[in-house]
Amino acid sequence: MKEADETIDRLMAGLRDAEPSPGMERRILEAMEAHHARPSAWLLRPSVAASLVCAAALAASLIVVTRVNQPSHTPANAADVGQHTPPAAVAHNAPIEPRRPAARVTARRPRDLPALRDAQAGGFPAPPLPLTEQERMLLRVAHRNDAKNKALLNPDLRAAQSAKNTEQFQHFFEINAEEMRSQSE
Amino acid sequence: MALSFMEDARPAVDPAELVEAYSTLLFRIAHSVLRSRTEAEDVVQDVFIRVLEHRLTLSTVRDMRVWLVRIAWNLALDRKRRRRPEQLDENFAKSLASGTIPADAAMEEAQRFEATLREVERLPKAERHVLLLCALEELSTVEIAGVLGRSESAVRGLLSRARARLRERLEGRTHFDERG
Repeated sequence: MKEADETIDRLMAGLRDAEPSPGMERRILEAMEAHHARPSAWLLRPSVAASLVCAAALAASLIVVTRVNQPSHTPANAADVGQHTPPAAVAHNAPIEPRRPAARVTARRPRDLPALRDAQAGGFPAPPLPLTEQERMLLRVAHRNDAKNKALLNPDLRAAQSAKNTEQFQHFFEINAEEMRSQSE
Repeated sequence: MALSFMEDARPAVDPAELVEAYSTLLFRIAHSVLRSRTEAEDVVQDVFIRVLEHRLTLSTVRDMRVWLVRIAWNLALDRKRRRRPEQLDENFAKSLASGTIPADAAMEEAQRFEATLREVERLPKAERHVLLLCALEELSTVEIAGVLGRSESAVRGLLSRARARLRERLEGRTHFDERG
């Protein structure tokens, strides 16, 4: 029993008295400095790198989709805006009313200001204006699917119809003139 | 040594001071598990690399000594799982044998230490861990309880059972060897 205890005690003492090799502290400090100089380990992980690439690709695709889906019929500049303005408004040089209340514009956060400044720039596409009365009538005609009304929208057919009316009108007056001439004779 | 990497972070606790204060203790903690000087030093280095990664939150650590010992302990156990058991115990047992006795007696002593280490490894895990941490005589029972996540009374009980079981097995082995 004594021998076993003695062996255990000597073994435990051997563990207790273990000494690191000289210079361990210096090597650890150098390793810490080298580790600090490297980029963060999590950035080098394949999963993190793949996630960053995916995020960049997603952001790029979102930008492309946003650009493609911008309305193509939007007037390109202020001159185009005038073409869609109702004639009355153009004639009186009336200012175009903003589409949103002024209070909401002033309530924008500071981080929105660059976007607002871009939106107010001269070359920025103006928002689509409401349709004029004539445009709405044209839409109604087109949506009723009436063949006769739709034919009127065709300029060739309309010109032919107009020429035919003119011919009938002239033919009518030529007949009346001949009758009046024969009665007077 | 200029530690420029510690100046920009301005931590409340200086990692360089921690290296100076705790590296030897952490080495012994890791060495008690691995019984290899090289591997124990690697563990200590890994501990301080982790400290560096958490340097901005070091001031929130309540008991730095227990926190560092727990990291070293867990890293050493993790490293031990990855290597073959008893791979390095032979060398450590030889280093423990006295150099002043004849070679055959030294070899016999080394074999006895090696057998004791094998019996230590055969102990139940909780008993083995308490025995190894207590062997260092640098940690109080409260600190060992904090490292292992047990109560003080549990640590005392485990230590007592570990010593008794180890003694019993070594005596049984001795009787077996004598009969054999």
